[in-house]
Amino acid sequence: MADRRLYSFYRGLFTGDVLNFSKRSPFVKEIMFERIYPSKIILPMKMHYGIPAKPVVKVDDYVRIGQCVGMPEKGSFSVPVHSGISGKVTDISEIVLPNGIRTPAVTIVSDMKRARLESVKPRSGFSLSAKEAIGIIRDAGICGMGGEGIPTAAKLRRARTEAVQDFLVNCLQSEPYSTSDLVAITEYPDYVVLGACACARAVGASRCMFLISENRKEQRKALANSIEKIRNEFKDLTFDIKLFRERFPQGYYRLVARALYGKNLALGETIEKTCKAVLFNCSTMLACWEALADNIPMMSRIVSVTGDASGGHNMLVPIGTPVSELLSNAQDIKNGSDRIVWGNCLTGIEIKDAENTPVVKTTSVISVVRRTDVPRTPCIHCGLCSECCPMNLSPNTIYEMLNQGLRQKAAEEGARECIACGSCSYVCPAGIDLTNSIARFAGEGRIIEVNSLLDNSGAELKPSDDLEAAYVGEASLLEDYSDGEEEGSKASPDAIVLPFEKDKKV
Amino acid sequence: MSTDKKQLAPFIHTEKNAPYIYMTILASLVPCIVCGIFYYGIRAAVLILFCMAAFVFTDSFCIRITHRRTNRDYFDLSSLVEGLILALLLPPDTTLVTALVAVLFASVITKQMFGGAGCNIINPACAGRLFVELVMPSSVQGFSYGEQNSRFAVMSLIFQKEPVQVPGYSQFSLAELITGNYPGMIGTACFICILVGGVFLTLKGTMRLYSPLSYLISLMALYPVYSLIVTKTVSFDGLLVYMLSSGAVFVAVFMLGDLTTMPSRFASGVFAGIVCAVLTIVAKPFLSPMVSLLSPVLAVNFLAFVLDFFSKTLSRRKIRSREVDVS
Repeated sequence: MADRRLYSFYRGLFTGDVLNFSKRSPFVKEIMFERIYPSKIILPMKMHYGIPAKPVVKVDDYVRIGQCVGMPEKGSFSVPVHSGISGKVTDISEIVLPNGIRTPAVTIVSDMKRARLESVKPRSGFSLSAKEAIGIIRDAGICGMGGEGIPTAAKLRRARTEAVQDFLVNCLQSEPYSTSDLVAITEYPDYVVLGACACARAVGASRCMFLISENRKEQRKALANSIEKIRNEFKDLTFDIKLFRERFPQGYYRLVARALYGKNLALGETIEKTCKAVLFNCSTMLACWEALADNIPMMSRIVSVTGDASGGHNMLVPIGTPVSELLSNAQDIKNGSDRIVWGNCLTGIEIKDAENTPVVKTTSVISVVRRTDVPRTPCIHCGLCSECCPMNLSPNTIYEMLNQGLRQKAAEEGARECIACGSCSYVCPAGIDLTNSIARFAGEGRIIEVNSLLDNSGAELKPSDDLEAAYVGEASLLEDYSDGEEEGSKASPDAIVLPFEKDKKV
Repeated sequence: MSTDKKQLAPFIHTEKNAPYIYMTILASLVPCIVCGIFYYGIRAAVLILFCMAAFVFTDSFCIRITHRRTNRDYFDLSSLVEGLILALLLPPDTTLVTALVAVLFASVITKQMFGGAGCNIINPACAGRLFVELVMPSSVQGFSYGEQNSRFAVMSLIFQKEPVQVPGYSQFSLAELITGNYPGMIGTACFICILVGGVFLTLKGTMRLYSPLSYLISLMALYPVYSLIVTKTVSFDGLLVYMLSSGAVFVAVFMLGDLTTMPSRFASGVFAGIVCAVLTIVAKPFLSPMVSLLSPVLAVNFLAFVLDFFSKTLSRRKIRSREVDVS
């Protein structure tokens, strides 16, 4: 099953030495994992990579759990949005998310009755073709939950087109403090594995690999047990657990390709084409299996509320839950002057208005960190930023070049390769904000890469006029992710039969 | 949404900021200071304090007249570190005037003229020491046994003594060489103290090991070349004495392990260490011990940027070969 070889990229931040990651005992985990029922949710119509969905409800409409409130316009690259609570629609208006995205949003006030749609129940006795399975995933509104937000159905289709061999499940959560993906594996390992198996069959992969940190023994064991349980049902797939060193940012697809296949992906190169592999987040696989087996759309997710000013909670929350509701449930947050960060504290975005900032489909963590002033000193040319840059750049040199207006030279130094991971700013002894300067330059003109790591370089600096241009830019980059309607799948020769007997509940 | 100005990520920062790095270097030098003061008494303490104070004053003065610094809440600890290292490289019976000349050269010429802390290309302490060695050679020959003078004698700080011809180090016992109980510099004599400082810096992560290690290993491996040049025989005789008494370990730990003036990449760091060792061995038969020890360090400092550049270029040649478009 798991080979002993340890995979990793060169450089990066050693999590054990440099960052104080939350290491929770199993006992604490049981207490800390809780389900939140918010009094209201704010559902942005754009929580994914693509164009916003269109609200299909009106003010004063009553919605139930699982009901679709936002539908993609026909032919558009988008995913539907579903309500995670029951209640009344009180407002439909445009909001601006912390990452600068302007989108319509539906506000629903809960009636606390938790009324579900009747169709949201375990699917019984089904045989699905690959196209049907992908269709269910598309209709469930699932998009990449690791941060990219690319619609999962579109990504599966592209993987299928590229005839990938390896189906990679990213269980590497190396961001500081956050443990939401690890909790997903601990709590629902069967769902993660089954989701991966179903999707692997849907794309025609022959090998299913789970990438996990060597330190996460509990999760490794859970995955191994789940794989053993379903191995006989998926004899056409071979399973593998690949152990990685815990480094930040190991989960980024280009670093996974480097560690696993020894290939350096250039900008624009895809892991599907170059490595014949496709990479999905483990929480996305969990959501896929919920959609396939239980007919549950993507309406909730696990979110970590954590940081050096918080004890570390993991909560199952409906999508759209205001951040303030999460914080009110995290009892150990004492100091009102702490920073609240939408995302992890290396790449996230600080928010001021927690009341009106929702958890979206790509939000895996809300960080609460202390306000600390780093002494700002002149650069001492120590080279620590170069030592830790996962893309093998020299951030201090590039920073100086950009400061002096030498943009061509900066580009030649590889500044466009920056993935805005925040490592250089984190380690800089002089307290220089290298990341934002370089990432802003790197992000100019490439929206897909900017989105790839919860980049915030343009959040404050991008004027609202640019947002429309960003939409156009995104739409123009989507040729690889065509989301056209699929036709007649019932008689498809590549039908997959999911391992269910009639009415058997997973 | 709020429109207040917000800070951008990252929101956490390593505790290893610049003052922390300089503080750890100061802490790592404490054993050498204690040892120096123990052997040479109050004159060593005065010399150390004088060099540190002079360095801080000179740096502050330069910064003030050039209106360089704007952040007044930050005290530049690099001045203290460099003043201290410079003092530890001086013989105990060095006059304050000589020390002042070294400090002025180190601070003004090699540090502030290049832009101040972090902008210096070469190690200021090394350059200052080398300067007085070359310009005023007789004034830095104040070697003495620790017990030769009273520990409270301070006249040597004002009146220059006759230059002392240091006896051959092979006359000393191994215990004397290891503990530093022989005529040498204030801080470079005691091997154990330097080692403790090096281990401390390594554990704190404020020193890169690859240059010092490659330097020391190369130095030991190449020692027969020196022997060949001097005695026409290839042998390792005198290697241990040389390693313990020459100050090579001090140079390795506190100069070649420096984050600012040495290459930051592994390959270039190793290469720099080897180059430094080769130059030392080649120069040793022809130059004075201190010049042959310190001048290669400066040469490598000058090369550091170039070595880093080539190391990076080689590792990124594939990326650099791609067409770069900038609007």
